[in-house]
Amino acid sequence: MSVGAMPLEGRRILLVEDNFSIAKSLAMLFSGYGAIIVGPAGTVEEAMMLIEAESHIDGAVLDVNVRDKLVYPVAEALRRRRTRMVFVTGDDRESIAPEFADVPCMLKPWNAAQLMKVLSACDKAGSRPSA
Amino acid sequence: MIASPPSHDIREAIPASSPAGSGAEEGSPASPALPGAEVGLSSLNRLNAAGRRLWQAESLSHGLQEMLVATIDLLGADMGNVQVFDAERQALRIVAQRGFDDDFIEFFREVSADDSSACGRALRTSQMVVIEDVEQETTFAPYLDAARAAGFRAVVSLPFCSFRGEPLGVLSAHFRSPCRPAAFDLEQLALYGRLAASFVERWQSDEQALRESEERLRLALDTSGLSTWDWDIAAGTSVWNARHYELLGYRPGLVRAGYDAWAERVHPDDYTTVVRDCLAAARGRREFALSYRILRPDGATRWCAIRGRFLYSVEGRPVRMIAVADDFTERRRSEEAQRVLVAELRHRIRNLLTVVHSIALQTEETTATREEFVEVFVERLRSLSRVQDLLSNENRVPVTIAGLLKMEFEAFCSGADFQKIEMAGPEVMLEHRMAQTLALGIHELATNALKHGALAGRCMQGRLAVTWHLEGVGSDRRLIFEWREDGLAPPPQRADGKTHGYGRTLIEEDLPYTLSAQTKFELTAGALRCWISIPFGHGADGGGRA
Repeated sequence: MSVGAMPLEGRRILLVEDNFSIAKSLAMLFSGYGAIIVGPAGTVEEAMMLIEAESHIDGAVLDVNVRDKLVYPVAEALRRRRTRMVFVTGDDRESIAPEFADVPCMLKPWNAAQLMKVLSACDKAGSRPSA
Repeated sequence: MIASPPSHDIREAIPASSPAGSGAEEGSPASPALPGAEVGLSSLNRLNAAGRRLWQAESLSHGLQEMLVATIDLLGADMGNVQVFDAERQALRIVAQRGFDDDFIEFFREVSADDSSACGRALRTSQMVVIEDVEQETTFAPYLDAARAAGFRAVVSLPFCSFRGEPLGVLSAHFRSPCRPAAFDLEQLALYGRLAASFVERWQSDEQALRESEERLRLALDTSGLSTWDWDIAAGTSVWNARHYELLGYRPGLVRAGYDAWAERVHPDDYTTVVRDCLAAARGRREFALSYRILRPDGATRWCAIRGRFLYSVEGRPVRMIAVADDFTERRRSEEAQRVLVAELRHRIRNLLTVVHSIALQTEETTATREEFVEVFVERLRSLSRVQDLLSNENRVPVTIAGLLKMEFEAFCSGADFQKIEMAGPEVMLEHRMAQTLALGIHELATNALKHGALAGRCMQGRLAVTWHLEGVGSDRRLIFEWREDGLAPPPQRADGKTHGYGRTLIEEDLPYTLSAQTKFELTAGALRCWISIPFGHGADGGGRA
């Protein structure tokens, strides 16, 4: 699959990740593809506040385990808003709660190309709200 | 001793003088008629018949009773008894008798081998003793009253010995009138003695073998910790070993072993399944193997695995069940603990890979050349590896701030460097994540101090002070950590133009993000001060223990 120079041009992407370096690296990666970063949030509470404050989020990359708390409340809130998301987890896929079995999931450590592929795919599948 | 189930034939065949003396206690007739003791057969035929019955004997006393009846018949005697020699007690014990009353049996129950009675003498001399008339025999005087009471005048006592010549017992026949048996009859009697001897020898060796075999089995069962359960369904009785009482939470003797006592202790959630599976095995004539929980009155749950089989009547009805049960509660517990441990280990490895990933990203960003990347990256991995060593022991030795500092200093510093270092603070235990993050921070600070700061070789006046303490209470509690270097030479300008490296980024950006810390990093002329304040209350993210 070929990825254009700015496949995430103008998209607002929420990042939830408790590891500073990884969050920073993800932010740089997506910014490089034209995305506008929401966050990154290092805790579930911070992520919830961001969702509340942001009327417009196109997609999200969620670390499943954030400082020993599960990210599901964030996922639930995003689902209500029909926002596409990708889980990133240090555990295995089977550890994901069954009600989120349909959410694409990447194992850590992630690979940039693969993450982009998953995120672009769900971006295409999702309805893109008109700005 | 005899494991076979009781049958009426055997119990009827055993006369009053069984070794246990139960007949005497029950006051049953002293000499019941025996089948096969017909009168009128020729003596050889009788010997033959006695020999045949002997090999079918179900017990020692039963077999010797057969011999006694044949002997009485042979000699035309009126009564008699058979004694066996107990080598341990050096005494003769009556195991079969005919025609005597309880008083006589009581009087002669056990006769010392030194005794001068007919049987005692026969045993000692290994010779047949014939007393034609007890009234005339002076040596018999001490027993005359007993003989009169029992009503005999003459007695023949034949000792019988093993093939090796050890005494086994004495066969005696008694006559109401004075008499001397014919020589021919006495010769035949010697043959009867031979027959009795080989019977007793065989019986004792069988019994010995059985005893040893049972002992082995008992020892093996005790060692294995298995419970045994023998349920006679027809009779409605059960035999459990001590371990089975223990498994069910009973004390032996305080409850009647049986189905009801078992059913009361099976976990209610498992009972139906257990019964269903047992019945299926009984119908299908299969062995069964199943596990279930035991619920003891104190609420303790034990897991047991049982294996067993049913025995069937000729009509095919299950009449008996034999099973062994294994209490595998401890094994289950340790398997569960191992499962948790493996899951935790997998989680930690994944987490560690994430950290390595993050270190690689940061190192890539803050190094100028490939060589520098490799050098710095490997040093950081080594620091990470050291903290893993500490964390893998954290159940035994908690990870503390002092522990982290010593670990880092010992990895880099020489004796002279230690002269420059001062550490002071209370014992503060760190949970996993905080320990890992703080260790990386300390590593960066220490590496920097060695290269450019107070611990650098050229910095003769350098001093390093590391202090920490806890502040506040409850959820507001914070860990305050301070790293202070003094007497520094002016910092050299980095050739690549990067003003500060990963160390400073880690402290100024990573710690606030990862641990919600507040940090200050100040580099002034001659001094470096790094101040870190981390939430440390209960319920705070990454909260530790102090």
